[in-house]
Amino acid sequence: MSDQLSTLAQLAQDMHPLWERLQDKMPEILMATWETVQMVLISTFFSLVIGFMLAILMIVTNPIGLKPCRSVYRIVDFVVNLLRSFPFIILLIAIIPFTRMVVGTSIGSGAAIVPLTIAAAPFVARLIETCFLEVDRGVIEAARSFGASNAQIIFRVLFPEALPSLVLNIAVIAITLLGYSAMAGTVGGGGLGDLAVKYGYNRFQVDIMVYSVIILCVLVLLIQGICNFLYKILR
Amino acid sequence: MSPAPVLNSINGLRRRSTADACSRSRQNLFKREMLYQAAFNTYGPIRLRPDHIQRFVPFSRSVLYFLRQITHPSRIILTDSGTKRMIQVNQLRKSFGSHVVLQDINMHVRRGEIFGIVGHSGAGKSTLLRCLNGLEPYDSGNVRVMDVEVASLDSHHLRQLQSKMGMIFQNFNLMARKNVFDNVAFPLHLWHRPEREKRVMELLELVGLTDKARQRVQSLSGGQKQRVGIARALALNPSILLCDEATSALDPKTTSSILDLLEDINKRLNLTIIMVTHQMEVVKRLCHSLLLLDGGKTVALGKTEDLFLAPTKDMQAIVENEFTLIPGGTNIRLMFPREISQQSVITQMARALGIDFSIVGGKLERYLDDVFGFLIINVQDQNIDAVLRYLKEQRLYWEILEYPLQQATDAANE
Repeated sequence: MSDQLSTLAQLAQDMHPLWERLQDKMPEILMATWETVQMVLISTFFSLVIGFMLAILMIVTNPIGLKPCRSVYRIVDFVVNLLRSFPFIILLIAIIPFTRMVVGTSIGSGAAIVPLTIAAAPFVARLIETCFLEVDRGVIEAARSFGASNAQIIFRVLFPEALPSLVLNIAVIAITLLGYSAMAGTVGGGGLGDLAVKYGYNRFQVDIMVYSVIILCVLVLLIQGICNFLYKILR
Repeated sequence: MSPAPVLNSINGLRRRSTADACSRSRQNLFKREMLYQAAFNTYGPIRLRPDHIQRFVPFSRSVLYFLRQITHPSRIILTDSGTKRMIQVNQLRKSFGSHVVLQDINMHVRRGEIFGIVGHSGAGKSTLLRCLNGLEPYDSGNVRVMDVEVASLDSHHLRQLQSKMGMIFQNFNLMARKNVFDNVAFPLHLWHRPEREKRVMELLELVGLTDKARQRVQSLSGGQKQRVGIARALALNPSILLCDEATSALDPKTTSSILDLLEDINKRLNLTIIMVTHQMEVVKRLCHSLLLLDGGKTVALGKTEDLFLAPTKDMQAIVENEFTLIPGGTNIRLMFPREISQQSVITQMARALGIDFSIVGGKLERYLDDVFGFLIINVQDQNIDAVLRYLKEQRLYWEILEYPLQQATDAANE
């Protein structure tokens, strides 16, 4: 049985020099995948934290919000719009000094997390703000009529009520960050994007590029699948 | 416990502190806080009457107090002040920008009363209701709820007052993701009340939804949702229940059952209920007194019975459009109190006077526990004197209906 299998593998090896290259590059591909996953997870987390705070600031100061304050809202709104209109690839390069200040280097997947977070945070803020605004105004009013404070309204009404749509939006954010992380690879960010450019583009090893694309696709499907599943449970 | 001694000592400190220098008052603030702490440790939550809380407003502005309230939200429980006049509104005025939505509103609501605020949509009735529990600020005038001026309260004390006023809504405004139990428990959570489980089951029993406790709100019918809303509004033992078009989204049969429930609650808990509605049948059925609003102004105010038996001209314009009157002759509206409604007055009159008249329309209606009826008849002009004389002798309530202008021109065009 094992003999047969090894002959089969032998056959495959003889027939496809690509197979050999895959075996050869496997550790590198796995490493790149892990780096990508790491980058996406950590930057999603940090952008959620920052974005959540910005979203709360916006929902509170919104003209129809809990404690309207036009000037603060305008400033936050403007900053969010400004950062969102930055093309990521330019942001990546533009904030290199800042990145170096924060993580000490501008190369590698660790360094890519900084621009990823900064690019995603305003996006996250906007998405969470939209989720919060979609919560039925009547429910908020009901909570107020029982004497709920603004903090209670945010954490006991807005947040739980918006949770299912928040989860779906987290999928959107994570997938966007996955795309961005591949982009970060082109300027030395590490991960699957780096791999694809290094071998697929610079060394014409198209098969490696195909592998990284396949892995990226699987990651996207995985993220969306998990979030859809969570949405179904939470709804 | 009786809060009197503690309160007095606390107030004594305050009185001195206002006269004192800044540093002294700060020290006193701390002392007062210590007193509170001691009182709480000894007696549990301090029960404050609504009129007491006003005395504490300056005190409450201290950061210290605020922090304490966060760590011990259950320390002060507002109790009912026992006042007869639950709500008193004087010369209330409210506007959104340049648009005046309420003006010169005067009303008062007694304890245990069901009070109706009626009007067409856009008449300002929901805004008035929201002024009562501080969800909307008002421009001028007074709104006193349980002897406390709503506008004078800071946010913290306003929240305490709101906890004494339950509210139900047209669209129920329940949290869709939570089940019935959690929705009812929500205000109890907000106020960190103990024994939630027991209280919620009590409330669900009151509204007849014990078996639905663990069901999702989405799976309930409209009437059941409103029952959950009522249970939630009653969770904090309020003294006043505010109903904002509570039955407008329900079908007639469900409306009737919800009204029965409200009536039952009103009697059983001696709860003061304020109903905002555009449905006249709801008002006639349930409300002891009513305020009729149109365009933000008072059209009528008084006992439901009096207002519907002898409506003013303005009120007629709003309430009466059920019957198309016959052109020509005189339209007379007869009203029958309970004792007369059983007798066949009309046929007797026809026989006694030997005249003919046409019947435009009529209705028997239930006002609270009484049944009243009215009938509109059209009498030829030559018979009118005889008819009116007869009506006076019989001591019936009656009035001559003026032929509406619009209908008159329509008739002339035909």
